[in-house]
Amino acid sequence: MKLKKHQIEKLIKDIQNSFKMDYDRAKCIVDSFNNLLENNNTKFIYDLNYKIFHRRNHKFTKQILNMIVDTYAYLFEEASDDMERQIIRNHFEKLFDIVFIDRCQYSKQLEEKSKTTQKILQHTTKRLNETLETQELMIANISHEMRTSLNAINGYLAIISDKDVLQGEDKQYLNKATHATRTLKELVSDILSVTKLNSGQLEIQQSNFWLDKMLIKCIDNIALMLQKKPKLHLRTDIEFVPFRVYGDQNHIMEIIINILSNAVKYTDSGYISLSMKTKQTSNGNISISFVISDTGIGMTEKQLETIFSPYSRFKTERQGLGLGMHIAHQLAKKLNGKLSVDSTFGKGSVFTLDIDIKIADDKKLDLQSRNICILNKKNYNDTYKQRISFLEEQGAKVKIFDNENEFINYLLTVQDNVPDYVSIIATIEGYTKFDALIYYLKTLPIFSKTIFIAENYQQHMSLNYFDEIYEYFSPIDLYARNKTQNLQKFESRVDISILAIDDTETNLDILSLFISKKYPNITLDLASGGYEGIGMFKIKKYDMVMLDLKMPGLDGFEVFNKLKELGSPLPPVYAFSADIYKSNIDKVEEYGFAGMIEKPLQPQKLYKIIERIMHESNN
Amino acid sequence: MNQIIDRTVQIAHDYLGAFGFEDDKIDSTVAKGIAELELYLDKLRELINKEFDFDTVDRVLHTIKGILFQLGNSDDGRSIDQLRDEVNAENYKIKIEDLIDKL
Repeated sequence: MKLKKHQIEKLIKDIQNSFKMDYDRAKCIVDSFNNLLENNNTKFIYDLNYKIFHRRNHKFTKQILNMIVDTYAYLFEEASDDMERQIIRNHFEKLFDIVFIDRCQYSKQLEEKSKTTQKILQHTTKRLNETLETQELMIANISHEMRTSLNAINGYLAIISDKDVLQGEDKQYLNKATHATRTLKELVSDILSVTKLNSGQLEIQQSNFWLDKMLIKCIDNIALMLQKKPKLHLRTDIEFVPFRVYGDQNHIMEIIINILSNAVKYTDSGYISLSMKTKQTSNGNISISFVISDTGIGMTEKQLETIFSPYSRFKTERQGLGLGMHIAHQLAKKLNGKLSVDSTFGKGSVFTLDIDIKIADDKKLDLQSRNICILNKKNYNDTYKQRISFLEEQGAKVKIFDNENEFINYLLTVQDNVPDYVSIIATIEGYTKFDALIYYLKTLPIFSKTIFIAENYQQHMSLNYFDEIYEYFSPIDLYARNKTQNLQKFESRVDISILAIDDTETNLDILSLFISKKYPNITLDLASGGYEGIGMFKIKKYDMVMLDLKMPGLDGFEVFNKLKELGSPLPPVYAFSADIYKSNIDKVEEYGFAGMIEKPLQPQKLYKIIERIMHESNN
Repeated sequence: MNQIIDRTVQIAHDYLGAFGFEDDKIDSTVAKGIAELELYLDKLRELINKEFDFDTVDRVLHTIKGILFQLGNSDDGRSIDQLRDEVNAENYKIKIEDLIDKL
């Protein structure tokens, strides 16, 4: 079949009109179409397919479709006989199939392929997430296992170090091993923190706390690092906050300690400054700004951009993975706070932690009838004045001296209203002198319950007789401490022997920890079972026995009976038990125990008992 | 079981730290305490596959409770203590399995 001349001309015109095309291009298309009709040359079809694909425009596609339908309708009408009509119909169907139906099928295939690809992607993403979660869990588990093992290694290294049996090189190796273990432990803790933060497992633990006490703990944490850098000094400008706050103390401390440690790490000389300013907000909260600045190496702009990203470590010779600042930043966010930084390369950095925190719904400090005597030779700044006013508002009687001689005279002649607390802010050389004075005062019975405090003691010489030593300032709640909590050193020198019998090593360790800290001169013998304890009791005289009630083999009651059977007068025997039930207490009384010491250990109760025994032993 | 160990390590450090002990001393005490706690938790796990023996189950739970208390983890200590009152020959497998799952 071949187009007639008038048909060619009509089609050229139609194409020109429909597609705003010039004559030559329209003729070219019609020639190509004619070639398809006459010689079955498929170039026309491919051109058409390409154009539709290339344009990707449904209006254009519709125009083409209309044009094809119109063209075949026209040719159908022009056909001379049925045979020609049939040829035209077949041709149209074939063209329509190839250009449109196939295209639709192809599009559908594409759509299906796209759906399959999407499914594969979804599946892969899911698997990836699962892998990541598993990895995180695995990291958390491994970190935990490592930390537990490292705790043990660290602990046993400390025990070897305590024994002081190693000499020379060996001692050095031990120190290096201890140091390396600590570093490793810190890294593992960092990884654990990041994992917990990423997986949202980090728990907020809120409690009431004093801000000044929290900052003292932070400073204590970097004290050893600071000691190693004699040219580096810490300055503090801590506003006094006369109430406790309610928040996540541990995590705030973690952020501050992280920044302070970094400041020490990156500053070799000059100073590190820690300041705290507060502002009460309208909703009864307090808005706190902790600012930590240093005169260290500072950061470039590029380094500043990545400071809070994980694994940013600028100078490779410094220790660590670079997770600390990332953790601090994430923690600040978690606490609804903000950690920001400003830095100048070569000059130092300033970190600011802004955080809102609730004011604790708290009772006042009870300082009624407390006598506080203070020597302040250094300064009377606003914070100091606020602290004194606060102590007086809480009922304390405060006597302040700025003259050393008057202060000493007062202490040597005081008869009534003996101070419960003597706080000294002196010059560096002054502290040594006062240490000797306190030694003398402690021999006088009237000072037996006085707590002697060294404040602002920024040096590394040891003081022997002060009860409390603070490098910058004392925590305000120190003045609310119960007088009986102050243990006198001369009492701790009384030599008594205690036998503790318990099958659980942890119980004995904790007991030993508490007793040896307060009473280094007490001899504490530990037995891990009833028979062992009886054996030890037979060969040594004890002033007190602590006996676990529930033990395998002989239980506490049976051991007590056997001790009684030995004949010699028994020292006070205390039941040591976590089962504080009435039936148990009655049984303990019935057996003739001197009393019961509860688990968990309540140190103050234990100390009272020990002091009573010391007192009896003394007399 | 990891959670209780993690929790106890954290609490023990805070608890003993609050009394002002030196870090080294805390580290060694906690490490030994945790090692002992793990030992008794393993014993507890073994008990599921054994015939019920009240004294043994009670003693292991008592020891775990004691260690937890001594390390300052009173909450978990109290949970274990409660279980000691509830456990009997019929329910001990389920109770211990439940406890292990929770820990």
